[in-house]
Amino acid sequence: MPDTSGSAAPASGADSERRRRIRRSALLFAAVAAAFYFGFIALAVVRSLK
Amino acid sequence: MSTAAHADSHDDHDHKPHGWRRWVYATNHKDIGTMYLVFSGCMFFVGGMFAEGIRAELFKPGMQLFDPQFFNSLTTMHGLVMIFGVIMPSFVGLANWMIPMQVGAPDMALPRLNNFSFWILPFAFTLLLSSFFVPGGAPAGGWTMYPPLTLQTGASFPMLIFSIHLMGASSILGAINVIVTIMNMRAPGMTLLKMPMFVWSWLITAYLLIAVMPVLAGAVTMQLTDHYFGTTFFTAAGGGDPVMFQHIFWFFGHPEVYIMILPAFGIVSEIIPTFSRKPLFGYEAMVYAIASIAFLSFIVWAHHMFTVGMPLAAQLFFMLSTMLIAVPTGVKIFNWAATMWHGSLSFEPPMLFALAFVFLFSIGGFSGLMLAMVPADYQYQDTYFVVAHFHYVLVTGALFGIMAAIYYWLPKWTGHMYDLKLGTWHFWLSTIFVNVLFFPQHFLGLAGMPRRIPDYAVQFTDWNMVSSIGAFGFGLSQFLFLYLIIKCVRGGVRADSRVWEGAHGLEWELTSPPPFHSWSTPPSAAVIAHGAEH
Repeated sequence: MPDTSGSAAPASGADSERRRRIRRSALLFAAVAAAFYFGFIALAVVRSLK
Repeated sequence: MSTAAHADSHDDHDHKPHGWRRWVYATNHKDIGTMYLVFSGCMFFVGGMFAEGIRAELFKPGMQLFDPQFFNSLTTMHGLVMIFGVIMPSFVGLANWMIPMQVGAPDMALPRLNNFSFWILPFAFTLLLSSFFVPGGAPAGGWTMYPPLTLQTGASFPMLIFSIHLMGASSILGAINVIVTIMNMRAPGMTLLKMPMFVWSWLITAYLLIAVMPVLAGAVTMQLTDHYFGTTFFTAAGGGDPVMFQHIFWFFGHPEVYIMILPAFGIVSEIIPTFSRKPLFGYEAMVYAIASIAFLSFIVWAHHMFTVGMPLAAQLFFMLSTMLIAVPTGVKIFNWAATMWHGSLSFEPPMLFALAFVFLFSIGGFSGLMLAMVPADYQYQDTYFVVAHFHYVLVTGALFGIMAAIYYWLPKWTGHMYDLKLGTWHFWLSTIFVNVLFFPQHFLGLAGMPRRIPDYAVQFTDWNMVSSIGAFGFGLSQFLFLYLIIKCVRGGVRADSRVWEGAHGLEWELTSPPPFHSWSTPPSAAVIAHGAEH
């Protein structure tokens, strides 16, 4: 698959730190989204048990 | 200007994959932006066809063209396609094209995820639209999917639920990409309060998306388990509560309205200063106003369901919090007016659409205030007044915002100037017909015509005929738009890098069309300072 991401240059220290930050924050937001998904289902379950 | 800005035309073609691979494996933000825009353009004509069918059936009383079940399928699918297939992907397409260029980044932070979030969409909509051909037909319970009605859907029910999940996943992945791009990929010196308004509006929209799309997914997952796995979350017979679905749905649904309008606010905030040849009045106030609107959108959801019955205190809370939204929205409207005040105005198509947006969106806002009043809402609930209200918000608001953006940035994208005269014709035809289409629906609603019915009492005939004529005219006008875009993509007068005399922002420092890899060298502080003259 051709790399068209424009990020082919070797990563410097700052670059790899930025990549880490990007990965970390992407995973954090994905976790937040998952928490909203399961959280609302859990709320509905708890409510139905009352 | 950076070296990227000076890139000659060879760079347009360097390292660019060709043929189908360029699109299927696309990781370039411009290519993915183009695919989003083309996809939403196709869906616009599909959803528009459903709308024309609805208006054709309602042209006169009695049943003309469709049986009631199919009519209900048309209204349901029109809503789903226009919201999830047109407005949202269009804004994501615009975000893909513009955000990296506006913040001085070479691409989105997660290009492969970007590719994935786009390619989910064609599958989701193929699944949704193919539900017309399964036994029982397409979903017909309304785009809001209220139980117990929606639980009666036939074989298309799981198709609906799965496609909603796919659309939600696509939106969430897109939103994550937007946030991490803006927070991590800005050029050095591009501080948050130097960002263009379009980028700000998208940053806030992306946070909304991450918070509420999973809520919709959770709600429809529970419907799925109610339908197939014996749970009774929303089934009264098993001790469940159908009204709880409405609460959960509108906890998603009201922020969703702002997801569909905040990027348009950003677009209008870019266009009005350009064609007023003045900086945006109250830049920081505009940012805080968008943030306030986003926050308030989480605490107003029950105004969509006053008539289900709720405690007086809750009614008062949701009425007053809804009315509070008028304050930051008013800040924006007055700031746009103040930007134009004593400006050197010119009225090219982007400005015409932006101005129409300000006037006509305000009409939708005012009818929204009327609907926010509990006693009045008891009269308006489920009438055509509501239909008129949200179409003023979403068509003359969100859609006109998208059209304004396309007219504003199309020469930048293609490198060709479009036919301004044709664009002006498209504007006037669209604006006249859209008002002929939706304004009479206020009268119909106030007179008591219910929404989502294929037939109506004869006293509603005249305004329905007028409304349908407006719909046919509006629909036909859009072929002019399509022709203009195709003509512009195929050729025309070369566009300068700064297409519009009064335009500021990093995107205008790049060539038109921009090189395939823009800002591979970050823009200098001087370029950023020049671009950030809000």
